[in-house]
Amino acid sequence: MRRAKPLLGTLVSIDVGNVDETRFISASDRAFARIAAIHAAMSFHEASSDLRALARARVGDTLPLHADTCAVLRLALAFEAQSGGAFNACCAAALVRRSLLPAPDDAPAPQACTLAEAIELLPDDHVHVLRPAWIDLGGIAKGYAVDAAVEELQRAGVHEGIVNAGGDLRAFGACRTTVHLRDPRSPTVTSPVAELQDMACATSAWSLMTPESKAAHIVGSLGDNAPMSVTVFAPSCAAADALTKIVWLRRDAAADLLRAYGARALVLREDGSMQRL
Amino acid sequence: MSTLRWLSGAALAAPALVQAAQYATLDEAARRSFPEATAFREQLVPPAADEHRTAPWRMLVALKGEQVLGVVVADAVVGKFELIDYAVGIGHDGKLRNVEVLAYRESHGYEIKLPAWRAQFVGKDAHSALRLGEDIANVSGATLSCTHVTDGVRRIVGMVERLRTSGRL
Repeated sequence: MRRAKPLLGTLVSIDVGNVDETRFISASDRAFARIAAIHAAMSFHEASSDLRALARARVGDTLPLHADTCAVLRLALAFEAQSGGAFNACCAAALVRRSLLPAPDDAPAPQACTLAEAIELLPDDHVHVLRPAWIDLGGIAKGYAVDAAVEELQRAGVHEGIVNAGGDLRAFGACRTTVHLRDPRSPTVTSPVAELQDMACATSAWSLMTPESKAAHIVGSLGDNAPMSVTVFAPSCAAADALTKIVWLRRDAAADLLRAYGARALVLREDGSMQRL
Repeated sequence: MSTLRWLSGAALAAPALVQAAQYATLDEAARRSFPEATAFREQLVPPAADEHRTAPWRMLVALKGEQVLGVVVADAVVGKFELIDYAVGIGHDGKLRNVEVLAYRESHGYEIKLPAWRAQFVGKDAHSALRLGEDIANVSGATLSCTHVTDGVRRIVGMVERLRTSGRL
């Protein structure tokens, strides 16, 4: 049984096996509601979100945030430390300058800094603000939302299925699935690249609507023959999502980190070649 | 146990397929929006002059006995290379209850705008997955934007609000 809703700025589908319709509807209702709540807390577009509250905060403030926001910030801090700064959640100001995010009208633009310089996580879902920062969790929150939806489905008694948020997906339980990769230059061309079970997959790629602007969403030095699409397979979708950006910037140097997370990567480059890491 | 098996292929070279997935029927979306309804009455509402739309809005009015609980409005949006059918459930109080994607399909371009191409998908229900190509559920890659649907939901909320305030609902 399957169902889909427009969430997280894309189409989110839930596809499950071996449950009756009543259980499926109530379980998927809960999973979709959890995704919507995560989106509301972590949207840089919405003035009522946790991230905008952080953007408005003053140095020294202590803010109560949603538990999900704190969980994602904790993951973002870990990926920042493990990637030598390649994973950078304080990239919102750069994305605003590229017109990929709207400029908040309620907070002054901050100086560049790392997430570890900007915030300190406190117990009980509170955050201590060390420096003013515009934080964007777009590089990890979608994957986290997929993991959270899987958790809700499992808690509601669904034992196998796939949650797919516009290509960031996770299969859980006994079902096997073939993942097809989309060519960002001609979006209707897809190829089967891997078969997975009980695993997640996320892709970061050139925008379908504006492939000519290439990797505008990646903040950092790109180098020659840069990727046009990076797919990461990992046990959790949050890790897969975050690792796509790290592989994009660190390339082969990301191999150890991939291994540490039990992850693999597939890089599609501008010259059309494909590399597995 | 987590397993990953690479499939062969050194480049993306497959011919373009029609990616299509059917998620729900309008009736299913209506029941999910108003589980307490005892009946649904189909209604066609002509668009207002400023709506830039020629086709009437198709909606199901949710009823519990004689009482109107709200409406479920069906619509479709065409993107650069995708067509999405969706339904919006709105309560009698004007509050948005549910947005459900009914069907998704994509194609190269021009044919997506043709009624004949679109008609081939009519009448499928959520349990008969289209087998025109591989299932859309497993495609990763550059992310599809749902802005068209979000804009469409906003239009429908506005349209239903006009019906409500003018006493036509």
